[in-house]
This record gives sequence, structure tokens and C-alpha cells, in this order.
Amino acid sequence: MSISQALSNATSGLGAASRQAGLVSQNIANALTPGYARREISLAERTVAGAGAGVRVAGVDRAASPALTAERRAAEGPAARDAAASAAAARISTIFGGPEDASSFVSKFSAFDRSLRDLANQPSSSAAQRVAVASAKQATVTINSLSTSLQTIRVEADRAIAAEVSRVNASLTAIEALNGQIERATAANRDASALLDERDRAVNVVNGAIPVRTLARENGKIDLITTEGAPLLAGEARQLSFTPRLLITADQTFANGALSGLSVDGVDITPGAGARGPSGGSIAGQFAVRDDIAVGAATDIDAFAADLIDRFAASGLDPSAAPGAPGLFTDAGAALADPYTAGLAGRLRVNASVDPDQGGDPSRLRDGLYAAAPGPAGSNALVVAFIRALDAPQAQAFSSGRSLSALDAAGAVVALRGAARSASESAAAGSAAYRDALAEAELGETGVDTDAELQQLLLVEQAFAANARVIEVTGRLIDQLTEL
Amino acid sequence: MGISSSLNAGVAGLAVNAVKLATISDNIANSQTIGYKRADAQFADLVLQQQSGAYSAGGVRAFTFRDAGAQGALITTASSTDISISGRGLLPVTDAAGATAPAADRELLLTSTGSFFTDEFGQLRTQSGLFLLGWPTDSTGSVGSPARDSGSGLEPVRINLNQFSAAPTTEVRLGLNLPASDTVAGAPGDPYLLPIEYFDNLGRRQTLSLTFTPAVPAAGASNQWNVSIIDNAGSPTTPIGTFDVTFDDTPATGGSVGAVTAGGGASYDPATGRVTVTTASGPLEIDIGSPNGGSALTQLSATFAPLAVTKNGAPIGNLSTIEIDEGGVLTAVFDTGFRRPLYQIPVVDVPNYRGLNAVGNQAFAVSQDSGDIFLWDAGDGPVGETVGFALSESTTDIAAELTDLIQTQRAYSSNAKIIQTVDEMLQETTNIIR
Repeated sequence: MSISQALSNATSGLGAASRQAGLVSQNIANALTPGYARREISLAERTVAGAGAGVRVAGVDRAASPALTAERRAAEGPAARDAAASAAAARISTIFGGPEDASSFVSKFSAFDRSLRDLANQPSSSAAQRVAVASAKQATVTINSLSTSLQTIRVEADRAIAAEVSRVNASLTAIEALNGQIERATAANRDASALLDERDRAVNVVNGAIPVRTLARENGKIDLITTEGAPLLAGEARQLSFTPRLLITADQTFANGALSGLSVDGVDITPGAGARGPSGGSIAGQFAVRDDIAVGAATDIDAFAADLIDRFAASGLDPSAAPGAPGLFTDAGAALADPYTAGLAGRLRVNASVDPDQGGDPSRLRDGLYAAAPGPAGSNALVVAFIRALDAPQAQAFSSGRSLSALDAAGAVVALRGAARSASESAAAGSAAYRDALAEAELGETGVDTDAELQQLLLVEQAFAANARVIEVTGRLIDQLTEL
Repeated sequence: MGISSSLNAGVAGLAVNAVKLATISDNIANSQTIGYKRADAQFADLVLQQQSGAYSAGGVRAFTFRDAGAQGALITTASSTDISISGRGLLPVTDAAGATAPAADRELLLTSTGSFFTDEFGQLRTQSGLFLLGWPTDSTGSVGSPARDSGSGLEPVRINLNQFSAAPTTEVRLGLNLPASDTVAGAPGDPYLLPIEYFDNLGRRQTLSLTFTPAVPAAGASNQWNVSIIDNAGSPTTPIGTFDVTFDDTPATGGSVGAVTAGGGASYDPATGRVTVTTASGPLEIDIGSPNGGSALTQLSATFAPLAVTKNGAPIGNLSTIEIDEGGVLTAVFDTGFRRPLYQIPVVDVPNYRGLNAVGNQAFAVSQDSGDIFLWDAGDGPVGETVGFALSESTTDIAAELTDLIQTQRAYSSNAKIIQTVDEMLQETTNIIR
């Protein structure tokens, strides 16, 4: 009966219009949700046994721009790595401080330099002697704490790697589970858009830590492989393994095997070590901090400490000292070994013979570090020799061939940190800007345009009203029949 | 006598119009019953032996029948097991007694449509108690050659809703690119690992670990890779097969598979481009491509990219829905995307649809008048296709029935008028002798 056909057609139209209204409302509600991709309904003519029978919802299309997403993900890797590296460089630069900062390493060292010059003017003053020893001790304590702070930064980077690894592992497991749910939804012809959004977010988490490529598989599933070719998800999620350490000393490095690398299912993917190590991502950034940036700063401050010990240990500088005996500064009380072990800056001490806290006597600054008896009270010969040793130009490992006095060398160590900071910050700003530009473009392709949605809503309203009108008229036709 | 025959004809007219009214009321009552076939009454005149110069009214009699061959309009529904037929033919069903009876005692009933659901015993039935019949399929999806002139091969459709099923993997297509720069002199020669998941005979997930090792020559480029395949279901150290691939570097077919040397349990067929290995659950074919063609496995100067590694098979899955296709095949769809045919539902055709006996619940039984049944595959021969998600509406047309109602009412009152007139005429006759 064709009147009932008209009713059934109009009912299908009402259903399609209300489904569209539902989708529009969901789009508008999620206009600000990160990672939400716009949905559109796709309508098709409904046919029963070859004849038209109203309208049906053929499916829900999820807006996607695979090329832009892949490009944005590729840009994510360098941005995350540079962000981690520049944060560490900025922190190290802050720890080293500047010359204008009273508590900084350079200020403490120049205070020691000044106190020696004061002592040269009044060698008999026991107050000036004590001030000189105290400022030398303060300078060594500041250098010691720099060394400790640098190792703390390495421990924190190590912990950050462990945290990232467990996030990646959790995300990989989640992606495996979502793959299964998406497969079932696809098989049952259900809308999997929400699951796809969820999975994209999980892939973004993995990609931020280790840059990956997604590989489409049957039934809407995906596999993940790092851009360097190590599979992270192949049907089953594979787990990254990494062992964090509670404490890291200066001599422990990844190169000498004391620190953990990164591996997935037995394949070594340590950043910067093997052919499969990722070059981008926050994990690569933290590895750079742990094994490169903080180690570089620690090596420089060690070289500075070695230079300082060396200046006061020159033979003949202090007549009271036997050849090879430690000078004013020591490696934990001993003379400098060649080569010295890493972490020297943390072991730098003032010679116990001048330190009143260790039974020494500050007057030995004037009389000779190993002098058995007090010398002439007005003699400043040794102090002047010490000042000359400080001012003598010497070549340091970090001064790129130039010969610098001790005070200039301290300034150079700090300047190097500042330069590293600004270089890594500008790199981070560049890679972040590129990533943001691509993310913006991706959002333009897949995000919600509320104006367009409201326009769509008007059309839906009209379609709904028209279908309702058909039902109303059909009802009146049936009334006409019964009134016969 | 003329006048009394008029009275009899009038009474007969009342009776047949009452019959007509009964069919109309039944049709209107069932105007929303799915699969209802309208009943109709047709009138035939009765002629008495006539003498010249006289006329005796013979009256009228009615024949009723049900138009089982008429097609109701199809309406769509949301249930995959709402089944109807787009064209000639009826679905085979049986009643509650037949659902449990042996095949020989089962009564074959026919219906044009049904809103079927699985009951507590897994049988597909309607609320009105009709059980769908079909031919069960074997594991390959074939029904064999059942008897088509009787319902003896038909069984009540039974579906185990909580059943599991799986399909083992027999084929993997290795659509991947190996980096050409790795076979150039001086390359580090690091191997690439690729795990590929497959499903064994019990639906378990297993993994094939493929190791691609480049051959690094002293000078130039070797374009050669060694591939070793380890099955984690078997030995974790001994490969189930290895093969060496040398890639082509000629202008037209550069980058595709050149020569393949298989060994250690693997064999390569250049015609099909497949490497066959034997896993713990039987032979598995790995499609890498034939030489000198657009092979699946390539070696180009790009990254290691397993972009199109595909496989057949499905892991263990739960039954999610039942679907019927246009050929009458009832298919189970599992939630892992795997489908398996369970039954084939034939479409029954009889020579004379009006000869079928209506037995209630929109079902019909075969009678002597209807002729012998024949079971067609849906969409084959004269019968229509089976349609899921659809029901056949009642064939009642309300407008036509209401029109008939008016006509019947007029005819009835006209016949009553005849009786009244005859009565008045007889009154006149009796008044003569007063």
C-alpha cells in the first residue's frame, strides 16, 4: 500500500535528520576537544529488493588528513627532543649563574682572587689570612655543588626516561586493545570514530617519546614502527625496557656500561648509540641530557678544577713543599693524578694545612703550606707567587686553544653554558614553531568549524520539518478514507 | 413459482453479501499483520431449469479464497533476522511440534515473511511459533545436493549464539621495502627485524620473526639480502626457512625481486612469487612477488617500511550477528570480522498458490489443490530473492476494502428490499380473500 510506503519513507527521513542533528551536536560539543576529528554523516538511498524505500545512514565519515598528520608527527620528534635539551641547558646555565650574581661560581672565585690580593698588601694580618682561606673554601664548595647539581640533572633525566618508557609501554598496550575494539566495530559495521580518536591520541603519546610511523593493517588496525625501522607494535604490543638508577656518579656513563640503554624486545634502540636509535622524541632528548649535555658541563668544570689545582702545584712555587706534594687546592687531599678520574670538581678541596677547621693554620698561606715554623710576618713573597700563578695564562681543555688566567677561565666556563643555552633554545623555538604550524594546518583540516556546523543544523531542521509535514499529510489522507 | 424464487434469491443475496462482509472485516482487521494475505469472496449465479414464459430466480452463491500468491510491499526494519522474499515463493517453516519432531513427522508450512529471533534453545522462530527451516552447510559452506521436491532435507535452524570460531592464516603478503643503501660497500650491515602475527589452527596468535640481513660487499653494491624466518610456536633459535633475495637494478624493473634462493625448509616458486614454509600449524605461503615484475618485496633507496604486510585468517571471535544474503545463505558474522555460512534457506514454489490451506499465523499448508512443492535456491528460477532487514506488509488495501464495504452494504440493503417487496406482494395476495 503506497500510503504506508509514504509513511515509512518519511519516518526514515526523520530518523536520518535526527541522527544528523545528533552528530552536529556532538561536533559542536567537541569543538574545543584536543584530538577530536570532525564527523560527517553520509546518507544513501535505501533500497529493498531493488526498489527505493526512503533514506538510510550509510555511515559516519571521520575527517582525516593522513598526509598532514604524518608530517605533523614527523615534526613532533625534533620538537620534543629540542624541548627536553633546551630545558636542561637552561637549568645548567642557571646553576652556573652569571658574574653579576653574588652566589654564582664566578663571583665566589673572584672573591677568593680579591682576598689573596688583600693578603698581599697586609701579609701580617691574621684576619686577612683567615678571609683568604675562607673564601678559597667557599669557592671550592660552590664548585663541589656545581658538580653535584650536574649529576642530579643526569639522575633526573634518567628518571624522566624511565617515566617516558612506562608511558610508551602503557600507550602501546592501549593501542593494541583499541586495535581489537576497532576491528570488532568495523566488522559489526558500527561507528568506530571515538575509538579512532582515542587511538590517535595514544599514538601521539608514543610519537612524542619515540617518533613512529603508522602502518595500516586489515580491519582498520594499525602497526607502529619507529622511523629508524624498529617495530613497536606488530599485532601485539612490544615493550620497551630501560633500567633507571637511583644515583649516578660522574664517572658512570652509558659508554662504560654503567648506565642503561633502551631496547625493545631485545633489539637495542638506545638514542645516539646504534643504527636503530631514534634521533628525535623526548626520550632521545633526555638521553642527550644524561649522556651529553650534563656530561659536557661536568667535563668543563672538572677541567677548570684540574687547571686550578695545577696552577698551585707547580714545583718551586712554594719552597716548603716537596716535589709532587699537593698545592693550595687538592683532589680530596691528594695531588692531581694524570689523568684524573671524572668528577674532580666534586672532590676539589682546600689543602688541610691552611684550613683551621682541619687543624691547619691560615698563616701558612704566607709562610709556606708545609712550613714547620712561622716565617717573617711582613713577607708577602709566597702570596705574590700565588697571585702570579692565578694570573698566568694557561691553555684549558674548554678554551679552544686560547691561554687564559684562572679568573678568565671561570668566566669562559660560564659563557660556554650561556652559549649552549641560547643555541638550544633557538633550536627548540624553531622546531616547535614548525610543529605548531603543521598542527594548526591539521586542525584546519580535521577540526570542527562551528559556523559550518550551525549552517548544517539549519538544513537538518528544514529536512526534519519537511518529513514531519509528509507524515501529517499522510495522516490526513487516511482520515479521508475512514470518513467515506 | 416466480414469486417465492425471488424471495429465495433475496435471501441468498443476503447470505453471500454477509460472506463478503466477513472477508472485508477480516482483511481490515489484519491490515497491519505482516505477511497476511487478503481473503476474497467471488460470487457466481445459480440458474434453475427455465420453462418458456416463466422465470425462476436461481440466486447466487459465494466462493471464498485466500490470495497467497499476492505480494505485500516490503518495509525495512532494524533486525537482520527479519526475512522476506522479493517476488514469488514462500519460506519453509514448521510449527512448535515440528521443531522437535523427526524429519519424517515434521509438517512443512509456508509463510511469506517472518520476524525471527533466536529462542532459548538457539532456534530461529517467530513470536507466533513458526520455526524457520533450512539446509545446514558443511565446513566449506556447501549444502551438497539435498532433495528439492520434498522438505525431507530441511532442519530447524539452530544457532549457538555463544559459539567461537577462528580461521587459520595460510597466506602472508610481504609488501615491504628494504633500504638499498644498506647493501652498499661500507654500510654497517645491521639486520632489520620484523615480527608478523599469524593465527594458528586453534585461533591462537603466533608470531613469525623475520630477520633481514643485508650482504655488504667489499666494493660496489650487492643488492642482496638474507631473510631468515623463525616461528615462535616452534624452536626459538632454528629458522623454519631462509631465503636469499637478490634485487634487480636494471632500468625497467629496478628495485623488484631478481633472483631468490630458498633453503632450510623454505621453497620458492618463481611463477607464483611465493615462498612456502611450514609452521607448527601447517604450510604458510609468503608472497614476495615474481622476478622482473612489480613485486611486493622491493629494495629502493628509502627507509625500512613494512607498509603493506597483509595476511588472511582471523583470531578466535564471538558470534556477533546473523545475516541472510539474497541467495538465502544464513551467515554468522564474528566480532573479529570473520564470516561463516551456517544454513541455506530455500524458497518454496507451488503451482497454485490459491490452493494452499491457510493454517493461521500467516502460514499455509500444502494441499492437493496447491500441487507439489519445489525448493529453489533464492533468486533462482521463478522465485524471488530472500531479503534481510525487511518484512512483507499485509496485502490489504484499506481504500479498496472500504470501497468494497460500501458496495456490499448497498448490495445487502438492495437484497433486503427485494425480501420486503416480495412480502408486500404476498400481503396483497392474501388480502384478496378478505
